[in-house]
Amino acid sequence: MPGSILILAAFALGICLSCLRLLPDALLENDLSLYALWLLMALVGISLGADRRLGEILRSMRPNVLLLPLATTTGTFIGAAFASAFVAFSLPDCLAVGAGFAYYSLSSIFITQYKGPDLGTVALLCNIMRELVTLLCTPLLVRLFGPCAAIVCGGASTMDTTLPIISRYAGSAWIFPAIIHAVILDFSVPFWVTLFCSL
Amino acid sequence: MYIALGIMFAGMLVGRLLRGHVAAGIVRRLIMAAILLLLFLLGAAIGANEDLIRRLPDLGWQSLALMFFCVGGSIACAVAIRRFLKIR
Repeated sequence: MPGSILILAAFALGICLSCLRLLPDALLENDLSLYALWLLMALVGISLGADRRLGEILRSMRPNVLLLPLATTTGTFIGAAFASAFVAFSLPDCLAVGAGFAYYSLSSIFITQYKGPDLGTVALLCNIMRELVTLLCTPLLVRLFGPCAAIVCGGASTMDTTLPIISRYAGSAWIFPAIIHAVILDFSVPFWVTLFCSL
Repeated sequence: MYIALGIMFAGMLVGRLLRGHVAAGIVRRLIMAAILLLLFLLGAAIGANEDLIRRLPDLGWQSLALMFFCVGGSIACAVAIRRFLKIR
């Protein structure tokens, strides 16, 4: 949660300073964000490759646990496809936003770079809201639809931000599936977002 | 566009080779710093665009609608697979 607040604060600071014309034009005109994105992707890759736990988790999981990320992915894309009939963005754009799976920082950065700040803003807001809804509604979701509902709602956040509340209301037996679910989605976000941004 | 993905893969190889030598804490802090910088730049790009600022409330409503559809779809699929995931 403190990390999320910091991220939102950086975003808000950028808006405020820019609105007040306190930022040099050079900051907005050059390709600084593209190089920063490449640096971020390199660091994310290093972090994934160096993580010993990933191999252990992947070797020890049962195949039916893969149904959770499959449900999240399929359901999100179906929902995004329906949403494209009601919002002012195309089907590929809606799919790209949905493919953030609550990973709002990386997905909005990617989408802004390739589609512009309009869709990047929507991606940021949509995926932040997804994480917030999970934090606020997990008890209700578990009661009405079962533990899986809370996990799929949380998307890629179920290994950190939303894991405590999911564990509290769904039970500790769901901790491992929630983590696997988020790890798989985390991996998939760059691929899906890149794919839909190129359509 | 695929350059970013390629860089991530290259990073994964580097990370795999450096396993045990990479200070995970430092990498995590650098990732956070990069994310903060990029979100700051996104905010700056939005702030510099008066038309976008004016449309923020509308973009907010569209984001909310999109979120509800995506979450709704996911929950529907989760209910459908529930019986295959008996975990106690």
